[in-house]
Amino acid sequence: MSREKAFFDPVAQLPHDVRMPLLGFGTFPMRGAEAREAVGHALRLGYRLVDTARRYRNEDAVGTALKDSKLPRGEVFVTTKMPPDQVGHERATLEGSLQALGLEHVDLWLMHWPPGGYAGVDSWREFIKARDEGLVRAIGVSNYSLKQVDTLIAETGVAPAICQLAWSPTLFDAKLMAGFKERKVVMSAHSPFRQSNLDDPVIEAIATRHGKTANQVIVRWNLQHGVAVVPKSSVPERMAGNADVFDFELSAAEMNELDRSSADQAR
Amino acid sequence: MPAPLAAIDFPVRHERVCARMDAEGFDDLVVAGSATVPYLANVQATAGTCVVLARSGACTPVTAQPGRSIGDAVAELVGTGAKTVGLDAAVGWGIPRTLQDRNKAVTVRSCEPMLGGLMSIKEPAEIERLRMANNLADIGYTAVLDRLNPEMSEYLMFGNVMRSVRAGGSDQHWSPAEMPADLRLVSHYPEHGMVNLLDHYPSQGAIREDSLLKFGLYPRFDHYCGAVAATVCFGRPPASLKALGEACAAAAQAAIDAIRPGAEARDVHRAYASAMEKAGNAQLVGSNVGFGIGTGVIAPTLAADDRTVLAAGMVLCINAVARRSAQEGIVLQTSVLVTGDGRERLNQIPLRLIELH
Repeated sequence: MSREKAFFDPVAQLPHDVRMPLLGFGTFPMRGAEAREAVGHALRLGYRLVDTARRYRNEDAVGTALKDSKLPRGEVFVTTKMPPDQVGHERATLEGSLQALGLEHVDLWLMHWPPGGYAGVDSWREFIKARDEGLVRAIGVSNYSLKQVDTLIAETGVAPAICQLAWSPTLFDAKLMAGFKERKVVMSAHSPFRQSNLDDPVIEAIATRHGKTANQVIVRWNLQHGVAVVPKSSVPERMAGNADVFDFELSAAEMNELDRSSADQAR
Repeated sequence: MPAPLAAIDFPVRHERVCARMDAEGFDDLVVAGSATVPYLANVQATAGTCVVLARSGACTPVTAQPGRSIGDAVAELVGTGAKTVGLDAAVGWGIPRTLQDRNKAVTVRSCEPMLGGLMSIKEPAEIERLRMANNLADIGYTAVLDRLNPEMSEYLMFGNVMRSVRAGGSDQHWSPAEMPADLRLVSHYPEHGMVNLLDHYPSQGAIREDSLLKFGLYPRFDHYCGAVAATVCFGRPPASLKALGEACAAAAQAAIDAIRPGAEARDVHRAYASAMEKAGNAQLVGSNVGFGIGTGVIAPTLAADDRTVLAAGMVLCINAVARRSAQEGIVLQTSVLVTGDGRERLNQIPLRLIELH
């Protein structure tokens, strides 16, 4: 697989000169050999971001796949996440993740859920320390509200680089998106297909027009919004399909149609 | 959905049980317990039913019908002549009375020690089911923790768990309310359900920020029982609660570390009690720190006077409870497999006080 065929672009520019590919490979809920084989295949296809988490119990399998790929460390962006029940044990959790992954640092470390619904300021301070010590290159959150993000910023002065959340045309919220943009927090979509109505006639029509699938339209929609997206599949054909999104572009009208489909669904 | 597991060979199991019945002089067994019924008959125990296993190997679920009591139905199956019938503790008093009324030559006695011994050492297929059940308990735990916030309704929390556990392959449950052993808890709500809020009063309706949240998760997988319990503090815990949490966690770990083939059940209790005593909490140690688990609660009891020798294939539920009051109480629960040379924890949840802030 030549370096030119890998999916380095498009990227999001994160603080401290960190560049994150917007298209990545999700690994939940795969474990063991399934996870190892899927990540290996994804890397061979050209994926250059792998998304895992302590909760997924597959960091070891992901680590093995990374090692087996023989790709230079700097070429693959690795994200992992800390579960909310590890408040007070942040460093031990990170060290556990690094050991399981077989890495000296991860590129992105996220707080997986707001602990108990709180912003998790104490833990966020530990995240900042870990970043400053070079154990992680960027830090962020997952499943956080704007209010929770604001609390982190107010208490520490450091905004999350990323907020990963359930996101799809069905869940589109322009105000929320604008809020993250205003705070310079890059959005990242998890469960992009599970949260979508793949039979939505709007998505189907757009897909047909471009000779693509509903999944591909959803991935492209995210990328064009500047939202990182980590589709998961254990099926090689679908992995390839989810990444076959760089040969078409959604028009402004089509993007608006997809954005509006959340309001239409709510009615 | 998980891949199908190897089937349990019930005819082979019945052969084994019948061989032991022969050795101990039982002609028939009559069981009604939540653990014994599925063990023998692969059905969930329900009120008003029991199972009769004859020494021939015939295994018959029995229920009352109009005009015929369950005792009459059992008596018909047992038949006439001098018979020794083993009963488990859950069999209602009406059955032995009817048996003896209809057949003066019948002798009844408990089959609990015999069945308990057989049920305590698991077949490989049982261990796989206990792994699945405990994996479901872990799944339920993350369903609680990840979306938890104070003031959320209890039913929303229960719903999150049920959805996740169902997606994981089961929606059956068991309840520690069924067990006779001392749990040292004030209450658990609901009494019968996959999620039990421990030390909890039903009137609350919502999780409260100013209350410790102690919950137990009790899913079943193909009749086999998973069990975890955790204690969550919203906000930074006060120093005395933090210390109690650390002591209970250390004691639970000491109990787990004491589990090995050849050790006695009382050694596990002693390890727990010593650790608690060292932390100045001797008065908080209960009469038992756990029990055997399989299709329900079974022998041994991890009590100070239980000399059962632990053996590979047993699965034990460590139930670490340290309670000074509702506001200062820790419950930690996990299941542990006795292996050939030690032990293996079947759950991955943290075994300590969880702080969320």
